[in-house]
Amino acid sequence: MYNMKKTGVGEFEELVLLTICVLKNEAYAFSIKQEIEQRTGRRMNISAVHTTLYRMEDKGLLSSQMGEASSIRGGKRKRLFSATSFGVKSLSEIKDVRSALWNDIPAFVLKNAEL
Amino acid sequence: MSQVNPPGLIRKLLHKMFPVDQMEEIEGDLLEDYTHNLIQYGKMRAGLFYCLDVLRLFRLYRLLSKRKQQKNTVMNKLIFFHLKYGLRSLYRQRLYQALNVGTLTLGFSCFTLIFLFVYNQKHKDNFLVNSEQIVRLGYVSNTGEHTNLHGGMPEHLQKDFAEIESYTRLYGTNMEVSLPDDEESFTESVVYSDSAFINIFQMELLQGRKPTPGQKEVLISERLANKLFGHQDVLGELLSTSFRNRSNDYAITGILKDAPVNSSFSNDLVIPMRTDREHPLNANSWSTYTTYFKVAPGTDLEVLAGKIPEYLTRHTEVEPLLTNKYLFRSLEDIKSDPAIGDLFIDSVDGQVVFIFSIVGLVVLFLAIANYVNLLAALSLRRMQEMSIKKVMGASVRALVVQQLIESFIICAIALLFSSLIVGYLLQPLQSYLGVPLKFSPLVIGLVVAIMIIIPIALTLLASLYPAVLMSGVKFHELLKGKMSNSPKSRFVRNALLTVQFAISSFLIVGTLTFVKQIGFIKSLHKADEIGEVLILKGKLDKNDQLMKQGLLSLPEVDKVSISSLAPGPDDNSGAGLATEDFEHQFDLWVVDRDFLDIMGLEMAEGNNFYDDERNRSTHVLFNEALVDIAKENPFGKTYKLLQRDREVIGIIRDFPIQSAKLAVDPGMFVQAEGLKDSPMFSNLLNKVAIRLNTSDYETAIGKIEEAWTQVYPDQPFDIEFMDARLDRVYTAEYRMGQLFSVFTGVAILISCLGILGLLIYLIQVKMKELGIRKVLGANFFSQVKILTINIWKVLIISNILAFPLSFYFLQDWLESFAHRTEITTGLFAGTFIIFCAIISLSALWQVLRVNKLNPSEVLRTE
Repeated sequence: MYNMKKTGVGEFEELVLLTICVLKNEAYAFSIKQEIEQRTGRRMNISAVHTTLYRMEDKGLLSSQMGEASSIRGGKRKRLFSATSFGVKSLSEIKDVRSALWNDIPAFVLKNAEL
Repeated sequence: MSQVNPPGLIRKLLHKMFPVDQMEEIEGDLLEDYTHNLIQYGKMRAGLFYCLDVLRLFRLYRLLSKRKQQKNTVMNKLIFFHLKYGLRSLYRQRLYQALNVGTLTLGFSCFTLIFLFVYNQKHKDNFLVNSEQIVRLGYVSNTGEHTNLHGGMPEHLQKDFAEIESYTRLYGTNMEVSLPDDEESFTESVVYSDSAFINIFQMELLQGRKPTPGQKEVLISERLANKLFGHQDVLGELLSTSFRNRSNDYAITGILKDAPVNSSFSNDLVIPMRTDREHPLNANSWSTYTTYFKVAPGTDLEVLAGKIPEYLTRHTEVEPLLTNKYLFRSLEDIKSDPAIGDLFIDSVDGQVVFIFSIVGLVVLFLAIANYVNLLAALSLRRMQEMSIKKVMGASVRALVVQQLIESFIICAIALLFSSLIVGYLLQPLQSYLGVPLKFSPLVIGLVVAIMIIIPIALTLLASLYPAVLMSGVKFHELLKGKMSNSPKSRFVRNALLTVQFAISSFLIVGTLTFVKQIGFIKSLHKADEIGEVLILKGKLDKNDQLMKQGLLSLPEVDKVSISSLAPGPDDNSGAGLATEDFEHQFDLWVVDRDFLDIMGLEMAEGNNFYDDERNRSTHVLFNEALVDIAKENPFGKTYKLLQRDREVIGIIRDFPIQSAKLAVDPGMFVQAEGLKDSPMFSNLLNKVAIRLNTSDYETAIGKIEEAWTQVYPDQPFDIEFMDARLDRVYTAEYRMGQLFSVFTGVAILISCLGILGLLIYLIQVKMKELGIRKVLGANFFSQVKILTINIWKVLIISNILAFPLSFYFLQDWLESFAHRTEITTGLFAGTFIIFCAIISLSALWQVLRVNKLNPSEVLRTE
């Protein structure tokens, strides 16, 4: 069921995945949304987060279990997500590619950008 | 914080959308988000966000429902499950199912081909508006029905009867058509007609004008214009027709739209008839053409025909005109009865069409019956499997659906095969039958519709029986091992088999009768004796004796006769002769002394023409049919005929001059010398019959051709064997006979497959019994008896049913022949024996298989 070969991780997915790692044990759809909004200053849709979460779960990047309920949620439980080791590995691969790219950028390009 | 509520309607939508397991967290998340937004953006915007989020979740829904399906495929794709299961079980029983597919394919193909044929016949000429107004007038005299009216009648009738709107005289024939100064010619159908023709038969003049009667002008169809000239801009062009070496040039004055594909007549070339000749009713002036009338709507044809004799008494004293009975025939009648057909309308025997449609249905029925039987037998084999399924909770519906799908697969395969077969056979069959199986878009639509409907209907019909049979069984009994087949199902199976056998034996008797009748016809024509006689055709004129001497001088030639006839398809008698001494008119044939010998004819009384000094040119021979219509015994008498006193010196036994379907026409036979001074008949001699005394036909024919071209250098050499000539008379019968035998073959094949299937099933059921019997010392024959006794019983019952019916139908068919064989008990005995042989052969294979079985293998496994 989980297709391991299909490891393509999109930009938004990467963002969500990183946020989940940051939030440790408190990562559920709403808290992820809050965290991203705070960090990026962008408003986002809870449904977009949901879709991404379940898709990443299908890809095997995330695992989930049910958490506790609260009154603010109308007595409904949360689904708590955590990155699987495959997820973390995917993230670090992406990071490696990025930092390799960063290292190879000529110094004057960066200087220009600072100007 | 107090409880907040997002918009209720949207919440409901959310509930409807999601399966319960993911519902909880999503609803919770949305609520939390809503609460947060409420503080940050206010009620309006929070509600809006909530709403949009729910709508966007549709994407999620797809994702999640895909997840759900993957978890339990079988439940969700029940139809695919059935399909897969069906294919597996078909594969497991591939032998039986191959039998099934085979029978159904045969049945479907035959049925479709016959359907096409019958459909084409039924829809002939349906483009004619008010076709019931188009009628043909003919008369009935002592010699039967004729269509050649008195030349003046059409005109007078139209003038004096208000009911008759217009008329056209018609004469259809085939001619060689070519462009002037062009070697290449085509045989095309030509219609001579009056100007009302294109109105009565509703043709469309695309260009030009109608030709003027009496002028050498002609109308041409688009098709023929394209064929001859390559384009349609042909007004004013010349073309030439030739018939019996007489050619005419015509100028084209107009172009007709092609006759529709389903028309039973041709309009390729329309030539006007002469109208300048007077035909006073009071003179004896018989025409050679048929006349069609257009009558006013609602005319009672019988009443109209009844008025004619009375009308004629006022205008004429000509004897035959007054004594004839007049009769109108509708286009519909003419089309479906070749016996009353004419040279214009292409008629196909309605009886043949009827027989074919019956045969088509019968073959289809055989295939279906077989299919049902085999399927029922197979289902019984699967009892245990079904029982377990049912016990495990499968609903009756599921079991029925299972069966239906299996049948559907088989039907679909059979249909595929049969459409391939039909597509492949269509072209050869068309050219074979000589009847075009033309496709109009409507027919194609209909065929496609039938192709789709048949498998569905058949699937339901054929499988409901075993399916219901199966699903209604008390399964716990079956599981306990009571594998008895219920008496009811056995009855149905036997009944189906009986009908199948009855049909097959009917077809076998039919084929045998057919063969016998053909044999009878051949013996009637003495085909064995005279089959090798060569018939040479041409205009012999005054050089006949020169030709005869030339031929006789060849060493290969035994005997030569020069005459005006050779039994076969295209002989026209000289003329209708009539005197007061005979009841009605009779034919005149010119023969010579050797004719009787070569044609194997016998004298009933008196002598052949003498070959010594006793011979007189006034000597004549009669045939028995002419004796019958003479008012007193003519033998030895002298009659004044054709300006001379003619003495009857002999009576020839009747022999069929044309088809054996027709009674022998009375005829007088004279020698050529007897007519030398009568200019009208000088051109009658047109046949040379040659008997060879060698079997080296090629050299002989080569020499004969040499002799012919010496005497007639400008005439084509046209020669054929007598048996080929006779075959041409019976092409229709032969073709029908061959097709009939093909269908009989198909029916027998289907029955064989049925027997085979049944035996396989019986063996399956009785395997243990046979094993035990074998252990106890049963021999081969007692095993055969156990397996086939039921089939023999069914065979006898079915024959008892089939024989009286076939006797009735075949007698009916034979009555269409004036000369016919008899249906003897031998035919039925033969059928029975053939059938027994077929059954034994198909049974043998299976029985031998059982015989080889080691009983311990059967009995060991339990």
